[in-house]
Amino acid sequence: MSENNLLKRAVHAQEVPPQLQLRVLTAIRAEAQKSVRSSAWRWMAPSLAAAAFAAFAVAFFLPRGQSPDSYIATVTSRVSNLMRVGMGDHIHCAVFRKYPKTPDPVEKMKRELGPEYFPLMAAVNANAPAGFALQMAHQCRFQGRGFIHLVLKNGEKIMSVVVAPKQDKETFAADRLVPAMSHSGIAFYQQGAAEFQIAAFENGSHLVYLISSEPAYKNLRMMLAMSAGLNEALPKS
Amino acid sequence: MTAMVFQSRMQRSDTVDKWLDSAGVLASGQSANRSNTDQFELEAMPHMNDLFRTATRLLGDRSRAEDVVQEVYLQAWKSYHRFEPGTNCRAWLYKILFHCVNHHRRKWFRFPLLREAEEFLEANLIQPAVVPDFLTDQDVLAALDKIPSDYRSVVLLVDVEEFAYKDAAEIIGVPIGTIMSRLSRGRKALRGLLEEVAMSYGVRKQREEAI
Repeated sequence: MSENNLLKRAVHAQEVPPQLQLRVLTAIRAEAQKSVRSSAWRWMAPSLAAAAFAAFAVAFFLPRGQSPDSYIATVTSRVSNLMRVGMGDHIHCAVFRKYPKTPDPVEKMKRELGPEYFPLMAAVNANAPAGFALQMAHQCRFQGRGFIHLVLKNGEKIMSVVVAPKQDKETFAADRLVPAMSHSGIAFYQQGAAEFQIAAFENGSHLVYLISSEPAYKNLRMMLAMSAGLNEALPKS
Repeated sequence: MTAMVFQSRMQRSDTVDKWLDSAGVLASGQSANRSNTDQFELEAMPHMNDLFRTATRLLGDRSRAEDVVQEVYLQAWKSYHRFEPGTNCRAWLYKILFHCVNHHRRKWFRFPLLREAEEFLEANLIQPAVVPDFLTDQDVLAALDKIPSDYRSVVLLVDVEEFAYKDAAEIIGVPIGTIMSRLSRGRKALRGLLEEVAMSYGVRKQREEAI
């Protein structure tokens, strides 16, 4: 084999990280959205009074001055119905919360999750991204629906794993969502609104969400890492 | 609006693309920009793996190469309106890659001067020899990493990525004559280093014994 062919073979044999394409595409799409927003602004500026636009921006994009419920409604209206379920509980229960300085004791978390769901703690702990630690775990209710909610924190960063028992044969496919990717036979879904990214999968009886303010590709990657453990830990119906 | 977003999603084979369609909150009036993005992705994304591999060899670090490739694509996207459809998108992306790599080299490394490259050659050039094909990819890559970056860039562009001298000259921003001389020296240096590796395996000894 010639030196040239050896060289080609060696360089082309280098593995490309599987997440690179996702990372690049995410960056391009984010840039594209930014440019649309700025061009929309340039187009609208002459025809709209500055004050009216500012009022619109404040009303729709800023949480400050809004009630938590109207903020949640505004943000979650930008995602599909089933994604709204998980994102709403995250913002309601994890974002609008004052946390104690130290995480809840493990025994308290176990007690509040109940015997059916406390194995989720181990699944989350085992695959939590570096720097994130379990801060709180409990069962909660939001807008009349019950959730199993585990909250992880890394400094000011908050991440939720939200599990919702299915109601009325809910599925992401019926919610007109297309999987972001499939892994080990599980379909994963991903959406984003405001600063929140939500990744989700389902099994026969539960919808499982991971919500954070990390970039979309990282959020999805964290969900991929946790999914097998979570699926295993969920009660089998 | 969400339903509209989902309905307007284009049929694409790549599941990642499908996700990206649903992941963003698309504003109305984004369709023109959207088709522009699709066009860009269609033209540019097929070259990503080659760009990453070249960047890895130029920088010697996979995570820096990832960062640089992302930067290349963002810069390319921002100046896509200046790209003429039908022209060589690959060469255009490589030109941006070299611009980014040079920028980062100035930031990350002490940039080796050409004089150092000359000294390297004086110290390492040996007579061309047959390169044994049992050398592993790692051997070849390690040897490639040892040759001065100016020569390595040209070897990667011409010998690995098969750019014409003219395109390589445009990508790097030097005259064709410089490309030719750097290529010749780079090849010689690489061959010399590979020969050394072969010697370390005892090949020369075997060959001498055979003679």
